[in-house]
Amino acid sequence: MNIIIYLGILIISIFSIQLAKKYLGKLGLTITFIVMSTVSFLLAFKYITLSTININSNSITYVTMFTTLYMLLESTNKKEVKEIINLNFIINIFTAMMLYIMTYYTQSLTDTISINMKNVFSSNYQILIVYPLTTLLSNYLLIRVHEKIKKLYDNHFITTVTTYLLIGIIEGIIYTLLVYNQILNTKTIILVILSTYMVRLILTVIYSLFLTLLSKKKVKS
Amino acid sequence: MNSTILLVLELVLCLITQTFLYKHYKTAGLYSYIIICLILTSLMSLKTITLYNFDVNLGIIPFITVFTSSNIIIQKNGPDAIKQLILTISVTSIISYAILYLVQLQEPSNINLFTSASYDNIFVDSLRMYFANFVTTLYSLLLNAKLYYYLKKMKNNILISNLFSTIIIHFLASILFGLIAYVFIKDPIDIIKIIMIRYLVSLIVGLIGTIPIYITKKVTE
Repeated sequence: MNIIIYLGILIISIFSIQLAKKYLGKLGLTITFIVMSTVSFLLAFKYITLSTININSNSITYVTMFTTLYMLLESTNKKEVKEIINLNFIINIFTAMMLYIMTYYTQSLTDTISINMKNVFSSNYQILIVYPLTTLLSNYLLIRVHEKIKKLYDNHFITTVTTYLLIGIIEGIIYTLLVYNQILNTKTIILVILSTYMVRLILTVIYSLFLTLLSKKKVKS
Repeated sequence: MNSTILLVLELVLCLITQTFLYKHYKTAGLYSYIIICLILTSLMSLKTITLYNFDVNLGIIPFITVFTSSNIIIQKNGPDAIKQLILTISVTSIISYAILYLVQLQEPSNINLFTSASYDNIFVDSLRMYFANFVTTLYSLLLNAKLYYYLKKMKNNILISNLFSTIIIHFLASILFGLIAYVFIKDPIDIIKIIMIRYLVSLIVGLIGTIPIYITKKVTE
């Protein structure tokens, strides 16, 4: 069941990129990037089991966010992409603050959701701080690494997959260590980092093949 | 903490973010702000708080500031820009909610199980509330765009346009939300109370929203 839903989410994500690019061009890609980043933020709180491996539920949306960033790098200049990354960071900080404030309200007598919100957003406050920072860091690293690799091999597939090979592991280690250092034991942390990295790498390969097909069409500006 | 203080804090945060994003990122900033506010509204409105002995859904502050952002866009770009905005927020809202809901259906892993189970509990009965928010947002934004522009054409005064559109549109929006979200769940008297407090908060926040419209008037596109 989990795998079928996972494939469903993958199809929705690919469809959303194509829709955004076709009808809104650069603005559409910017919006997709920010929406996927925010959805990833909310999904970062849940872990799921895929077959026998445990991964973060935001893997697809996180890779979708990177894919839109690659597409923005292909269609606009580096300065504009950096501005979009900064915009995303501000939006993430805003989201984190709103979610944290939300948990402080005293619920009404009929409310049954509040306790769950406290368990998710207040008990895991580390994610509210670490996610915006690691996303900002990985996005900036992505620009630098992508640019350098593109100079060596001007091929979409090789550039995106090689960039993720480096960015993914750095982001995974920093994020998981900062969030789960006090909560999980070292063996589980290593397993989580590797499994999430592996699944995201497979997703990056799928997206890169899709991106190579899409890149033949010029982005509307 | 006192709910009124937290609501004021939320309002200040929303207005500052909105003005900052428009000042630095123009239309793309406002689009991002509106979309993120709607994602937050659909999540936050699942929680209810008691405000002066009345039950009220959270998420009302980001929901109303969406109208302020929409008025800034109309003020600068005219009513046609709202059609594109409504289309964009419809698609992004459906996609983001679909992903969040589908993840809730997936089996949680044993890692951080308590948080993952709490995440599932938040979204398990969220469909009706999401639908109420979605319909209310689209219907009211469309009406608001027509009314605000009509008032702007009649008398080019930001305060008058915002005042009258707030009084009329939020009255309709509160009724629509109250009916869709709570009919057959709560007593008619309780629904009327929810509509009344929602309208009162909307009026106050909507009128304070005149300030960012004035501030952003000086910003050139």
